[in-house]
Amino acid sequence: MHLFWIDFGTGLATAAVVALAATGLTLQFGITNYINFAYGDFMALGALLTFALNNQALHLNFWVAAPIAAILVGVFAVIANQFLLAPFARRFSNPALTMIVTFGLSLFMANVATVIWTGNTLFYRMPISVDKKVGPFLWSPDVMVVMVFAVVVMILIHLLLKMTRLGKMMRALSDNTSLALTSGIDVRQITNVTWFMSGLLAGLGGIALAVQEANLTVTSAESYLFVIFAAVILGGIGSVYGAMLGALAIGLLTETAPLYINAGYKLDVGFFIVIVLLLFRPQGLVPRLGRS
Amino acid sequence: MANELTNPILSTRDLKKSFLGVTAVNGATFDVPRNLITALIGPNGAGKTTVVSLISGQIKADSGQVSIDGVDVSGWPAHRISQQGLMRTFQLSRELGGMTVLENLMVSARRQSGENLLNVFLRPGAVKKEEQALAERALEILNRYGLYHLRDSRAQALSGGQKKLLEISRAVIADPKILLLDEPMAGVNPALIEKIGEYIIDLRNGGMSILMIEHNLGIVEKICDNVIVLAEGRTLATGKMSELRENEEVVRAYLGEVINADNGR
Amino acid sequence: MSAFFLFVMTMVFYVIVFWIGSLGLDLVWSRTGIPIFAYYLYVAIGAYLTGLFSLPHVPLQNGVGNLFGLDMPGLLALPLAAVATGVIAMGIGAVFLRRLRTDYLAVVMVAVALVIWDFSQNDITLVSGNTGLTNIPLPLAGVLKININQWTYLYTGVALVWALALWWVMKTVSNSPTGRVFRAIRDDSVVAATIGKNVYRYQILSMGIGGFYAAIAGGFLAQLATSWNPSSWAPFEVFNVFTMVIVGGVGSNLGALVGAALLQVLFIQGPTYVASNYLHSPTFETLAAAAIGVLMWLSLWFRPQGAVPEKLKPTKWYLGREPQLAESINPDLTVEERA
Ligand SMILES: Nc1ncnc2c1ncn2[C@@H]1O[C@H](COP(=O)(O)OP(=O)(O)O)[C@@H](O)[C@H]1O
Ligand SMILES: [Mg+2]
Repeated sequence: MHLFWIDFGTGLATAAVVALAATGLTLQFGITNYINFAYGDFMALGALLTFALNNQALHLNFWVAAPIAAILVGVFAVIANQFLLAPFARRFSNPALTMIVTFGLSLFMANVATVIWTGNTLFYRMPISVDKKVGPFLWSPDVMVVMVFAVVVMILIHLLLKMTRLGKMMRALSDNTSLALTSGIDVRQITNVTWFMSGLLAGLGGIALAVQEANLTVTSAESYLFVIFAAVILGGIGSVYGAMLGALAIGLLTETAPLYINAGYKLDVGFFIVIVLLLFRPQGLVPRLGRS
Repeated sequence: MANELTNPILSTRDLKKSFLGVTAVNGATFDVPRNLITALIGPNGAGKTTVVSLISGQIKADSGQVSIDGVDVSGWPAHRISQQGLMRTFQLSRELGGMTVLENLMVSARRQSGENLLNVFLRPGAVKKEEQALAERALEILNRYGLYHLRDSRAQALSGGQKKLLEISRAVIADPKILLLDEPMAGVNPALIEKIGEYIIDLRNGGMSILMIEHNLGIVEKICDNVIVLAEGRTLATGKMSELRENEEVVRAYLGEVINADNGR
Repeated sequence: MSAFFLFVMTMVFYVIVFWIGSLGLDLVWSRTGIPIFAYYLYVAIGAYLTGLFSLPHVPLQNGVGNLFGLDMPGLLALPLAAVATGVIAMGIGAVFLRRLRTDYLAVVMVAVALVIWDFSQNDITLVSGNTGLTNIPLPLAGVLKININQWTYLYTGVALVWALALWWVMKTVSNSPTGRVFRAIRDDSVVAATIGKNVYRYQILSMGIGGFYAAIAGGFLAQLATSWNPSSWAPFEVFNVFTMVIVGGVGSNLGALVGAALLQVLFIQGPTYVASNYLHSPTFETLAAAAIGVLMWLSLWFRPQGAVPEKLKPTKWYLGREPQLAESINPDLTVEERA
């Protein structure tokens, strides 16, 4: 039982990482009809830029470097969409072609990142953080900061979508693009904001992952990609609250699974469940109205 | 007449379908007689296209029955309903854009032994002979509908009217027992409307049964033997056009509106 | 000189192997319209199975060994592994093509490949985890008593024979009425069902054939390397094969060869050779891999039909002679149409 709660605690920490990344992915999917397979590399970019600012260039404090890096990923996402993905998506009606373009972006980013940061395991320049007992859980202070931060971000996203004019327009665009087009929303601006947020959240997710794992490599986020897919699909592609719930479920599932099965397969567990569920509910667990 | 109605080629019973709470078809019940042209009319949004899709199996009905030539095909997948002898065209033409016009017809023919790979490799000679005969037949049909000169063009390059004709020829090559046409004359020029009307009459004279959605009541009066009126997803009335003009309910629900709209154009 | 010649032969081998791989992807993606993002999984399964079929059984000890080894001759192991992979591909198709809409299908395909890749890194009972399969025998080498260089020349010839046979098969399939049904499904699967074709069955058939081709390519890769492990492949490498198909020409059997040759020579094997023999640094090779992304974007943007576009079959091809009907033109079609 004791061990279960420790793993449960780790699950909550993983859920925080997955939630950050999954919300970003699902926000972007809400306004496009394709999935961005370079998303894992957006995450890696956040972690790697933090490393650059923290260890290589300005030698900034980690907690200063991280937000700057995440914002840079947001800007990168806007640029990638404006100059690469959006033109292809406009020209080819088959979303699979745009997805292939995002595959290309993934390979491009991963290889360029390998040239810059090598394939070696990297470590942030920050004090070593020792696990502390919190109730039945065992967390390091850094991980606790990440978790609190993720909760704050989720609340902020909720407030943004529900309370602000910008958020309402984002939801309108996501629910029905053609309706939004005719109702005087500045589609271009909202699209840019959405891509920025998607990139920002990817960056934050990547950094959070590196903090949780206490190291990073160029490819560590990529192998996490399907965990994030699992959360997004579980919640229903395009649904923000669904993604948050999906992240919680997937985080807890993957981290408590090693109590029952080989730990090497813990990341696969969530996905197997998603696949089985999909076979019975092909529209996702939280179907979205208004999207065919 | 009695015989036509006791042994319909197609009949629907209480078909229902709603999309996310919006009821599109709400109990459509009608019989389509053999060897006649039947019109399916009704105001915009009455559910005509949805009814055709329910019959042909593109959309699964929430409830209700469909039978073709006495066989209950309710719930069957589209390809099996098609194999039962039903062909349909689409309101917005759906051509196989990357293939040639000739291939659009050839692929649509029934019972091709080359559609089984074993035959392709074990009986190549027979498959080849069949292909030649099929190409000849497709060319004849293309010639009949004035598309012969376009045989080697990519179907996506065709004009709107040409695509309408292509859809009809693609259905005809399969020699269906019942042909469903969704607004075959919408958006084409008056001369071609006339021509398409003649083609449809020819098909009926050749023994085919036809159910066509049509807005223009002048055309319906001229070429259709029988009319089914659909309103708000329900069958409102059936009969000859001349009879329906006498029907107060029909005139109120539909005819008046369309006649006015026609005058307005 | 001899080292260079060996490099050239090896490169030719890769070109041939990826021609086979591209042919299969071309069938499933360009001719049937299925976003088969799990394709590289079939390459890997083919490689693993070829290895397992041709290796002797080694009981598991300290994480090394295999669950089963059939000790077959390599020449036989390859096609049998490919048949098995084709069946697996059909199974995957049967499960996922049945119910999933396109966007979920695409994601699930990628995810399945990623999950199985992850599995292959952890599983030590079947595929020996990260160690993978080693000492996969070089087919014929033992029988003929030849060294690795001679074997490379010989086996390049074997691969060529396979490729030519598979090219003929693909040509026959795509020219047949079955191929025409595939293309109809690609163009509009709703119409294909409307005209009475069992879309689901044909999609599964296409997946099975595609899986067979992928596995032949994978089996050759494993035999050339004499090993196969999780670092021999990655699910995202499917992008390279997509690029070969798109750059070469979608729906074109010869285009698949052009695409495979272009990528292998200029972007994969060539740079690897230059990097390891002259530059002594892997950076150039990595940059070349990044450039494949750019190549694909440019190609798709400026020449979406590819270098060797899909050829349309004219009436004459079907009839075996010029058509003899008098030209009839529907005069009403020449009138200006309303919308
Ligand atoms: N796929 C669909 N999703 C949601 N609503 C639909 C769909 N297809 C049709 N409808 C709705 O069903 C009703 C009937 O449409 P339709 O059958 O196209 O009418 P008609 O062909 O008579 O003009 C309309 O209100 C339409 O908006
Ligand atoms: Mg309609």
